[in-house]
Amino acid sequence: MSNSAVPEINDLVRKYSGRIYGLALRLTQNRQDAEDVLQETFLKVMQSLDSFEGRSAIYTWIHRIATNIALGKLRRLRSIPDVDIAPEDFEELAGGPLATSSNYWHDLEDSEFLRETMDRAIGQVPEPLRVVFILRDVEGLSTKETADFLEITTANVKVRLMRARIQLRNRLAHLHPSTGARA
Amino acid sequence: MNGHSPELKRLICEELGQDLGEEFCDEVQRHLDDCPDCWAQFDSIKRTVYIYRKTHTDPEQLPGAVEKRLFKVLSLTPPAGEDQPPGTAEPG
Repeated sequence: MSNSAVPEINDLVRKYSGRIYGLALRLTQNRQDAEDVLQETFLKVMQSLDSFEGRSAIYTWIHRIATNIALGKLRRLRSIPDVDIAPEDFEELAGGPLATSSNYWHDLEDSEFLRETMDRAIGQVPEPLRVVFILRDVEGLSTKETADFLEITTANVKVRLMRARIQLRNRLAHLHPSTGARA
Repeated sequence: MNGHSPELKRLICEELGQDLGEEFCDEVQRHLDDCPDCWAQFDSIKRTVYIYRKTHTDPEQLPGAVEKRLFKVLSLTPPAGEDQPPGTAEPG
């Protein structure tokens, strides 16, 4: 290692492997693929660590490598044409029970049940939408960064994000206990 | 949402997933203040996103077997004396 300020690979693996595995699992929805992404990511990190220039935080750099590798496994994304907002989107938005009982959600927030239910629900959202949701809403990437990763337009990112959010909400409709007016 | 104008639907759509100018935001907000139905739809979506983020941003615990294989692939020495802890085994 040429720069003593650059962390040792062993430390990076111990510190970040869990987060990278989680990212990979969310993106690929498949444990074997996620493990492949994990291994490929840290192999790449190991090979490139000497050239890491520190222009970003090291986790940001590793996260970017992992995201690229994971998206490379989702080849189907590349063949999805641009999507526009369609009338069906509004029908979906109009459908489904409403979540207005904040206490109910609050009580469930830390439960494993909720996490597992969320996992199942997001797994049912079509991949091109789900990936945008993960990158934007969970990983916190900007619209532009997400568009660059996916090689789609920013407008397409926005539409997919909207659809993903609505679909996720509707797939969790059974958790929404009641309807009602604003408290 | 049924019965609302196409324009309003477009505005709400933008609020959900697209960048809005301040004027549009204000217009949507004014409508939401007066329409419990739309407000509830918005609220449920926002809450769903919030809950998903909250339950998925903590570091995942790496399953012991996955960690072991990772260290092997990287030719690194695995953590000493750390047998696979309970609850981290891979599902069958």
